[in-house]
Amino acid sequence: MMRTLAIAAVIVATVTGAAQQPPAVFHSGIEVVELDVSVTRGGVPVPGLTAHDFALTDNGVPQDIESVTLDRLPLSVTLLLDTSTSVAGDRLDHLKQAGEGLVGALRTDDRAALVTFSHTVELKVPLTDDRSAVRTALAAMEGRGATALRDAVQLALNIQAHDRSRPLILIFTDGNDTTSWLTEDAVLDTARRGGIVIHAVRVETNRFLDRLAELSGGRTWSATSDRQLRELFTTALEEMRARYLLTYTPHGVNHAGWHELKVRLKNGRADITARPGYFVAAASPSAPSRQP
Amino acid sequence: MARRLRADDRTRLALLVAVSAQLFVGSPAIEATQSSSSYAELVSEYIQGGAASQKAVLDLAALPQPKVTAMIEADARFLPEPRQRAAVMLHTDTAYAQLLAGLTSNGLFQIMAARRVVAVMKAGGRGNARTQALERRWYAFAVSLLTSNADLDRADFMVRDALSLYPREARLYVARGVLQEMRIAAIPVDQRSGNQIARHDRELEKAATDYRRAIGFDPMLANAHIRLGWIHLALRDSRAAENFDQALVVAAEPIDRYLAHLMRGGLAERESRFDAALVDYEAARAICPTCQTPFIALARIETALGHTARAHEIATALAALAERTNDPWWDFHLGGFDSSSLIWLRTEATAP
Repeated sequence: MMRTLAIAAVIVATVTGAAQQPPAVFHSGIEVVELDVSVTRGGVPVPGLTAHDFALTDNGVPQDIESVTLDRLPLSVTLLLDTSTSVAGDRLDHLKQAGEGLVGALRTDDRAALVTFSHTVELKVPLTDDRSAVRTALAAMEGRGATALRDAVQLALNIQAHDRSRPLILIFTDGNDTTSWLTEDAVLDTARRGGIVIHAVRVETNRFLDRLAELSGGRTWSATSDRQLRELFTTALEEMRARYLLTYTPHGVNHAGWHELKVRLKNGRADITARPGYFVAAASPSAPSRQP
Repeated sequence: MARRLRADDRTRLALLVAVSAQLFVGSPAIEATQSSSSYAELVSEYIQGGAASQKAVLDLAALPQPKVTAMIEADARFLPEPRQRAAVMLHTDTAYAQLLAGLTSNGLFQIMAARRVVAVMKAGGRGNARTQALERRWYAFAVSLLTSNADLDRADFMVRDALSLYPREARLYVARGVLQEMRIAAIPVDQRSGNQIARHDRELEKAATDYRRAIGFDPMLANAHIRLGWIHLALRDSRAAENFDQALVVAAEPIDRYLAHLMRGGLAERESRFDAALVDYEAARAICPTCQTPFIALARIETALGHTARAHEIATALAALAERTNDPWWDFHLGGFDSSSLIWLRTEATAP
């Protein structure tokens, strides 16, 4: 079991002022819902689909899909990488190469961010189109400390900027959580509300990651060797690119709470991966009503 | 393989230099030197604090173990009592730095060396109240150091030994309770198995018994109230709230108040009393504005309340922190590293 000893430090009691509450924005109903959908047959993406090919229900109510785009919007990829003690050594070298490979596979208008976690969770590079900044930060990573995976996922979800790009969080970890404050259920709930696709590459079986990916509409891959990391990172990026982005304006389901989504092809069979729903907050100070 | 080992050793020695610099906050990282200092000179150096203390630790760490043993045998008993106390902590801080640097066997050797100096102090007829206080506190710290380093068997051996000497020492019961918690944490529990859950809860109850005993001996020991509350929280026992409230009443140290607020926030969160959770998490953040956990906890609560912009703001504030303090939650969760005792021991070791 991985443990960490930390440097003893005296906490100095300092009372700080409460942060300013942002101006309240009240819901006026959900305007548009966007849904990333992966459609594959035999593991191969199915190309050329249009809005007419999809059937979608929101809480059981059929919806009219307004648009389907493929591979058009830029990606905002947040790399969330485990840098705990267990990663140190060869694995870390391969992880750096995998990160490099992913950065190299980004397109001109894509952006990337780097968050690392051991027991501390650190935003090493905010979302940027500066590839060299990400490369430099990747090269400087060191493996040390315990693992706070759940807390790291919470931070990665909360720092996402809401813009017109398609956000993707790509997680790598080689172990289980040892130091997080948050419970699995709490972080899964955050992911459910966030509507951000989460892909994960793992070394060991990790039930939390599997559930996280599933409810975000993402996927998990198991690395059988460290050498495989680079290939899997690139695969995760390609999988995201091959997704369709469905948009619709919900009707007949305008209420707060959980909205269960079901997507299928009208004709033909395929494996469809998408988040299982989205969450609408009750009328209270909240984010803009557009659902990512 | 040999080349690899040498590379690892170099890395660990560099790490030892770095962590020893961190242990003595403010001292610059210095290189280890081949010391020709006597035992008395090393202890004198350690007492000076800062860079001198760091140098003493590095010099001691660089000595062959047989030489250290010989020094203790030959010189420790002739040191004046204040210097003996300092010697105990010189070995203890060296052990701490070595364990942090991954030099486990060296660290364990230094812990045993510190214990030997404690024995020398007592054998010299210095069984006065001050020496005993130092010994009790040292045992509690050493057990926590071993437990935090996942060396549970050695920690168990040491706490039994210590309790045979001091059966009414509250901190030792806390240390034993934490040890029990760590043993339980190492055993996976299938949440679908009623038998496994019941066994897990029974084992946790043993730790709770130790914390209750600690409170019986010292009702002012805030850490024992917090630990007991945490077990009650895990067991869904309604007494958790009372434990955290009591901890806040008796807590004298910021670390204890921080943990009590954090955990009372956790209890409120579990009961979906989100507004109450926000108050306690904010109180924890006010005590430690550079600790990670309150930010994470607050961001989560704001998310649960649907305040996504506020959650984003808090997460961004955490990401932008230029400096992070070692979060007491980590120590609490990973073996109960007793930083309060370490600070007390260091102060005592350098006092006249």
